[in-house]
Amino acid sequence: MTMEDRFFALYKPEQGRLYRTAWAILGNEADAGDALQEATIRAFRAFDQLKGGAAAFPAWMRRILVNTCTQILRKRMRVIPVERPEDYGGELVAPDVELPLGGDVWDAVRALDERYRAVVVLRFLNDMQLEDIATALDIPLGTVKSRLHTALKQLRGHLQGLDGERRGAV
Amino acid sequence: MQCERVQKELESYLQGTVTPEERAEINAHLSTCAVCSEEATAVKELGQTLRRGLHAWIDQGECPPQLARQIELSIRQGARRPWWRRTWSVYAGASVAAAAVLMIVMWQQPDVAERMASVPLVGAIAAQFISPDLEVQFDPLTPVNTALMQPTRTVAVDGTAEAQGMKLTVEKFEVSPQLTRVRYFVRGLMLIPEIDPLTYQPELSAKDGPVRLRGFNADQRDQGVVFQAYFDPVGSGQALTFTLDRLPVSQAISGRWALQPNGQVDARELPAAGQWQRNGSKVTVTLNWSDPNVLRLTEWTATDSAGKEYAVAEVGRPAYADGAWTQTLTIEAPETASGLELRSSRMENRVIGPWTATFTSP
Repeated sequence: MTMEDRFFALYKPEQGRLYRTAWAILGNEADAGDALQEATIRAFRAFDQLKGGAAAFPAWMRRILVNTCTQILRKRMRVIPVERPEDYGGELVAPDVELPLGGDVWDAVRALDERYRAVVVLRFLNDMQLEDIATALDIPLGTVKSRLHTALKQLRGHLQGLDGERRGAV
Repeated sequence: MQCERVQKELESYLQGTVTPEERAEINAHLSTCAVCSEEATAVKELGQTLRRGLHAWIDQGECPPQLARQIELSIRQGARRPWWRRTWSVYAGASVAAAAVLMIVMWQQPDVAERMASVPLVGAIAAQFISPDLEVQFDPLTPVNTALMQPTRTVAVDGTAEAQGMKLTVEKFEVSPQLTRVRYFVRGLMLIPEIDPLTYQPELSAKDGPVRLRGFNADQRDQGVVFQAYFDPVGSGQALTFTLDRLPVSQAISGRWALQPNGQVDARELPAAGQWQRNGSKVTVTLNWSDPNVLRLTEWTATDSAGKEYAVAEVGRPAYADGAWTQTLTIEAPETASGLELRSSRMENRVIGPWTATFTSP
C-alpha cells in the first residue's frame, strides 16, 4: 500500500464530517472546500510524523483542519476595524433571515453573524477552551466571552422550542 | 459578586477555567441568587443542546464528490513529482547575492536517503539529512552540517515578528568557530516545492554588513515550517538583525475565466486576462497578469456550458518578462465543446514581509 493509499483509507471516512466542520466554522461551503483541500494537503505532508496510527488519525486530522480554518478567519477578520461589543446591539442575525422558532440547531447557529458563529462553533463543536479560541482568532479573551454571552442569549430564544418538542415527544 | 459579572463568567465557570477564588465567589453567589442559579442551569442546558445539535449535523455530512475528487487528485499527482532535483553550477567564493545555487536537494519521502546514498558526492550529505523537505547548500565540497557546530555558544532568542498573517519566531541562535546557526519557525507557511528554493532564504546582518549565508534547510510541520540557516561565524556580543524579506505562499482562491468566442479570455474574479486558440483537439490558453508577486495559478479544472469536465494541463511554469507574467495551459476538449470556462483553486504568490528579529550574539 502506498502512503497515499494508507492516508486515504484513514481520511475518507472522516471527510464528510471534516467538510461540515469547516463549513460550520467558516460559514459557507465554498470556503469550506478551500479549507478542506488546504488542510488535507498539509495533513498528507505531515502524515509520516503522525504517532499512534489509525486511532490517532481522526483527532489529528481535525486539529489540522481547525487550525487551517482559524488561520483563514484570522486573515479575514484582519481587515475589519476593531469593533466595540456595543456596536453589535441588535444585529447578531443577518437582517433578512427569519429564524424558525424551535428550529434546527444548525439553522439557528448558521444565521448568526460570522463573528458570533465562529466562537459558538469553536466552543460547542470543537470544545475549545475560551483562551484557545482567543489565541486562534487573535482576539482578546474578553471579546470571546462577551460574544459568546450575547450569542447564547440570542440562540436561547430560538432553541427553546426545540427542547420543549423533544421532551413532549418522549 | 454582581449578577452581571457572574453571568458573564458562566461559560468559563462551566468549563472549569476560572481561578479557585472566582469559583468560590461564583458558588457563593449561586447558592443565594435564584436568578443566576436558573441562568446557570439554562446556559448549561443550552450548551448541551448546541453540542448535540452541531455534532448531529456534522455526522450527517458528506463531502461533495467533485471536491473529494479534486482533493484526491491534487495529492496523488503531487506525490508523483520527481523526488529530487540536483543543480550544479560553477562557484567562486559563492556569495548570497549570486543567483547560481550550487546544490539543491529536495525530497518528500523518508526512504529517499537510501537512494541518495548511491549518488556520488551527495551521499555524505544524504546520510546526515534524512528528514528535511528542502535543503540548500552553497558549497557542495564543504557542506554545512551539525559536525561543524562544535563547540557551541547558544543564546535563547526572544525574537518574533508578524506580518501578513504569518509569524516568525527565532528559536535558537548558536555560534561555533566554524558556523552560526539560526533555528526559526514560520507559523502559517506551507512550502511550495516546485519554486526556486532561494525564495525562502534569510538574511543576517551585523553592524558592519551582511553575514554570508552558507546553507539552509526546511521542514514542513502542520502549523508552519521549521528552518535552520547556517551563516559564517560571528564574534561575540554583536548586535544582529535577522530578516525574511518575502515568502512564497500557496493560498486557496476561486478564480474563473471564460473563453469568449472572439478568442479572448475574460477574468471573472482575478485580474488576469489572455487569449485562447484551438489546435485540433486541444485548446491552448495564454494568461497574462502584471502583479509581480503572483507567481502561478494552479489546480485547474475546465467545464463547458453543459457542466462536462475536461482535463487541463499547465505548460511549464509561468514566465516573467517585460513587466508581466505569462502562463500557458492546454485544455483537452473536442471542437463540439462550447462555453468553456476555466477555474483555478490555488494561487502561489509572494507575501512581502519583512519579518525581522534582532538580538545579540553570545
